[in-house]
Amino acid sequence: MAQWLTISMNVQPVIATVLDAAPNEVTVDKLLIKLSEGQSQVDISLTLHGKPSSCSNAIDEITNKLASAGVTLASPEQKELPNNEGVRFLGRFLFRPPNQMKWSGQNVASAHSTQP
Amino acid sequence: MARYFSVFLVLAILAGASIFSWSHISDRYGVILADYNVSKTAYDRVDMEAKGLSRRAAEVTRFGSDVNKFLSAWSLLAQEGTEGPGPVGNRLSSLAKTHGLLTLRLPTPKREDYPFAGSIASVQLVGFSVTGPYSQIMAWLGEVEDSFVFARVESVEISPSGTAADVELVLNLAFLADKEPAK
Repeated sequence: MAQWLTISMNVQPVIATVLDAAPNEVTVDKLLIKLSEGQSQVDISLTLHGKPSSCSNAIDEITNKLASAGVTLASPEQKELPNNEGVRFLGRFLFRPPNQMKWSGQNVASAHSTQP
Repeated sequence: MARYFSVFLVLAILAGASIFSWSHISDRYGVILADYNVSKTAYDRVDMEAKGLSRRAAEVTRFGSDVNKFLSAWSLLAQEGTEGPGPVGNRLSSLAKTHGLLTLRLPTPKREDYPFAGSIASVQLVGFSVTGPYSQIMAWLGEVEDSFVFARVESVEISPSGTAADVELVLNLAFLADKEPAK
């Protein structure tokens, strides 16, 4: 039971990072975040619409932004949608211990104006 | 003449002593000030580090590993019924209302036995859906996470809501529920 209390990562900054990192030429159609293992790892499923090359660049950008904040990619899986409509990305990410996180568990301020 | 000289001598000695004392005090003050600045810098650093912790992390640290103390301090166990929202659902609705979001409470499943850390925990899942502008949704989510420091976010799904300006967020929270809900 004690491990329940080791939860110290907030999800909101992850979402904000993913959505803010996506460049304008791609559209984030759906973002699903699922946490597991006491919130030490997170599965991020992302459907992006746009040119496949732009989508791949967007995924690289998102992955880099998350990595610089302390959420590292463990196992990526990427599939192109039919008719070159976009890309579906599924990645398992690992959180660093909270005191090593760039966000330190703080929620991102509500001043995000960009639409996903 | 000798009297004047004596007075002058006394004044000179007093002046010299004053200058020496002032210089000494000034030096001491400088040392004290330097110590203060070093201490203050160290304090500020610790304070900043402390402020860097989330409310969740701070609470967890405060209560250590005593789950019961932690939960009773928050005095809010999951008491969601399948027939209607409990304190958690009401709080989620209330926060959504302050951010001007449309809300939909998702059907609440019964408590589940949840394999956890080598034992079985009784867990209450609470699902909630909100629709509104992205910035407001994110503000709501941040507030929810800070309000329920003892809850686990199981999943978050964000998708377009059908209107160009709004998004829909579906949130699933899990609460450790080691007591039966109030009837």
